[in-house]
Formats: sequence, C-alpha cells, structure tokens
Amino acid sequence: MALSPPPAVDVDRVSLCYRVPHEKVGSIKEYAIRRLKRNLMITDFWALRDVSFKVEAGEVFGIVGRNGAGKTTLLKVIARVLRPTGGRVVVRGLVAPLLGLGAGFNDELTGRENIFLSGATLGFSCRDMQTRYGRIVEFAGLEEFIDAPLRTFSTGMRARLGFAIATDVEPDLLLLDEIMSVGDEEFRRRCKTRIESFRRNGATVVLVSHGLEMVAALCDRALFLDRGVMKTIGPTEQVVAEYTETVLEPQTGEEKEEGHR
Amino acid sequence: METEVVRTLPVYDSAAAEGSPMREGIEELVRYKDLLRLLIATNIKARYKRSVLGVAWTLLSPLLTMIVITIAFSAIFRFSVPNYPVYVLAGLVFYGFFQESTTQSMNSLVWGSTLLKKVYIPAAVFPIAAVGTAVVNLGLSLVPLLLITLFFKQPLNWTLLFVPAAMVMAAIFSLGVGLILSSIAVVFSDVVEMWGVIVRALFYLTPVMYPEEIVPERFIWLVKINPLYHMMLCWREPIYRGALPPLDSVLKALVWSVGTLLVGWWVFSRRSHQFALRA
Repeated sequence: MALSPPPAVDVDRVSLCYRVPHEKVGSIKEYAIRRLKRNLMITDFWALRDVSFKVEAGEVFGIVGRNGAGKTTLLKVIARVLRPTGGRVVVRGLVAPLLGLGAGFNDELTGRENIFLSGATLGFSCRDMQTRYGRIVEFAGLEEFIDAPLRTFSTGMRARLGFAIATDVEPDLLLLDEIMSVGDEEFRRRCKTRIESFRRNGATVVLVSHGLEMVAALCDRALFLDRGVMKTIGPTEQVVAEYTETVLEPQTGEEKEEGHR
Repeated sequence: METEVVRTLPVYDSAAAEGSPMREGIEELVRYKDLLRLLIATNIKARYKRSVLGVAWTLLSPLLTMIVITIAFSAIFRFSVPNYPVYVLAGLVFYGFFQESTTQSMNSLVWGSTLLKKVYIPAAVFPIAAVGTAVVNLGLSLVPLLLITLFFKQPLNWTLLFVPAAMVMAAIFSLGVGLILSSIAVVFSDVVEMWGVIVRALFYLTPVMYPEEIVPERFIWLVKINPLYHMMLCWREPIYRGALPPLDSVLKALVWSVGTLLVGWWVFSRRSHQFALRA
C-alpha cells in the first residue's frame, strides 16, 4: 500500500448561480424596452454555495435534502452538465450519468438507430456501440421492437432502453438521480442487480434520493444539503438522523416521494 | 479490468475547461465527431424518409422559383443576361444554402438546449450539424443545377473544379454567422424572426435575381461590401460563365469566411457553458 489513490470526485468550494429574471425576458424587444425603462430585474439565485467534499474511489456517497435544496444541481455539476460559477470540480474516471436517461432520443428513428445516437451523446463512438449493441438490446428486453420507430415505444420501454444504454459500460463513477422508479418490478430488480455489481467491481457511486431508506441501506457516507449549503457531512447514520430531525419532524409526510424531473 | 491497476482514467477538471475555451471546444468536438455525423444523418433522413417526394422537393422548389422568377423578369432582363434561368437558379440555390444553414443553426441549438440541460455535450455540435446538413443539401441541388445548365446548352467547364472550394468558403462563413446567431438565439428567441427579415433584405441587396450591371454607379459599393456577393461569385462564375471567379472576390470571400468563423467560435465558446443554466 503505497500512495492512496486520488479521490474520484473532488468538489472544491463549488458555487453555482442561476441568473433568474423576475419575469422571463425572452426577446430582444422586451429586453430593450425594459432596459430603457430600467426595469430589468435579475436576481442571482445561488443554487449551491461553497460546497466542498471528496468522494474516495469505491465509496457510495449519498446526497439528501429537501426539494430545491440543490441536490440535482450538484449532481449535474459533477456530471459536467453545469459548470460551477465559482470553485472547481475534478472527476476522475469514466462516468455513467444516469441523469437524463434517453435524453438524446429521437422519436422518428428506430430503436436501433437511437441506441447509436444516444451512445454518441454519451461520447461513445459508433464502433464502440456496435460491439455493445447486442448486450443493450438484450438487457432492455426489446428484441422484437428494436426496428420499430421509437414513437411506438411505451414510457417503460424507453426508460429500459435508456438505462441499458447508459449502464452498458464498466463505469468508474455512477451518478444516480432518483431513477429507480421506472419500469416494471422485474426490470427494477435487474437495475438494482446491475448497480450492485458495479459497486462490487469497485465503482464509485454518488446518488441523490428523497428515499432515506435507500440512502441508509446503500451509502457509506452522506451529505445533507439545505438551500444550497452543506448542513452535515459524515457517516450515513449521523446524516440521516440529522436530516430526519430538521426536515421530517416539523412537516411530516409532505416531502416523502416527490420524484421531480 | 480489475487486474489492470494502472490505467489512464479520463479526467474532467472544470478549471481546465475555463482556461482556454476555444481550444478546449475543438478537442471536445473531435471526441464527439460521431455524434456530429449521426445528427447530420438524422437531419437528412428526417427530411427524406417520410415522403417519396422528399428528395424531389429539395430539387423542385428552387426549380419552380426559378421558373416563376424567369417568367416575371424575363421581360426586363432578357437582353442583359443570357441564359437567365441558369443565372437565377445558381444564385437561388446558393442563397438558399446561406438562409437554411444560418436559420437552422439557431433552431437546432434552441432545440438542443433542452438536451444540454440533461447531458454534457459540446454545444457546438448543433450549429455545426445544421451547417453540415445544409452542405449536403447544397451538394444534392448541384444535380438539377448542372442538368439545367446543360439543357440551356451552356457547356460545363473544368472551372467547375472551383465549386467545392466555393462551397467550403460558404460553409465556413455560414458557420461563423450561425455560431454568433445561435448563441444569441438561445437567450432571445425573437432573433430567429429578426434574422428572417434581415436575410430577406440581404437577398435583394445581393445580385441573385438581377445582374450587378444594373446597380447604379453610386450604389455599387453597397454590393461590394456584402460578403455574400463575393461568396456567390465564387460559386456562380464557374457554373454560369465557365470562368474562374475574379481573384479579388476569392480573396475577399476567403478573408470574410475565416474571419467570421474565428469571431463566431470565440463568441460561442465563451458563452456555451452558460446555455444549460438558462431556465
């Protein structure tokens, strides 16, 4: 045991600011008028403030917090979708972002064509996808429908295809955002099994969840985020306890299972 | 995989991306070149898949416009412009390319911005794919254009070899314009309509339908400062006249196209990381 490996995710004093106009100014005409009337109200909304943490390679890390606390934003910063306004993010390894599953799908194309297109949006070459194609179709269980246009697919079928494409790699880092509510029971089980096997192979996992049981069952460490600020970070039990105390006690029930997109 | 302890991991460092956005953007595009290819293929397919007349329409629509314009204007221009239909069609096809590529750059980025909020993709693939699609369509419309040219007994000349060079310059110029426009259109959606008006105005300022000789002496500078005029000459002269375009125009077209692309890339790459932040 020489040097310890560098952390898989290094979030260093990250802040993220959305500029939110009070009313949506969507046209130059409106912009000019408001500019003249000095009525251009833009507030800076800080979705994340000064967030710092490290996730070691092989760790399972959970992020908990209320709706709008910045959990998904934080995950997007790690996934490179959003660039931090301040601070720095370093991510080492191949990332499988399970954030926008099937984001690159095109309804007019067939399932087969969509596998290649979606793979390309994840940065994989067509040649890469060629070798994976068979496995993806099999995992999604869509052999008979694969040459039909995607618009004929059900929501569940799309979700299965999206998940199969995104996870048909041996990722070093898996980003999960409340996706375990898709598909039927049997497919959900297969998703869980696959994520489990990634973990066993040493992949790092960062997951966002409202479901505390899931965090408590899976995570080594967790972070409690409140209105973009780090509240607690540490061993899961401690964070879950703190979260339950501050959030769930005063207003029980309300926040339970609100999967937001 | 477990046995292989030392393997080079891909590393994403947000600070590195901020350092030199122009170069970083190009490296990312190379990595996503297959996405670019698939987007162009999808665009072309979407246009031609659902209708048998799809291909025919791209070819027919400039032809029909040509016929209308020829009928309308033949009385005026019959004597000054020999083989007027060839002249008009060559110009229309070229101008159509400029219009399509710039407009679609904006539309594709506006469409793609919903995607940019979910997955990381270098945003420039959208405008580039739009211009790439337009280039393919321009190449396709060469077929009827050359047929018409032959039909009017205009001999095809070795100078046609210059046409690809003209297409490259036009594509580079359009991409530059498209990059600038699309980075604004993501924020202000009315830019798409405004650009529609500007393109139409520019159409009349560019000698597409009329010969440049009819422009009065004191207004000729207005034609000459228009980069589209020089670009179009590079394209039309070899086809219509069987001659190489004037060197002056070639140089101007070259400088305009490269310059516009550099400015466009600079503007775009500095703003692109903010596209996903737009609510």
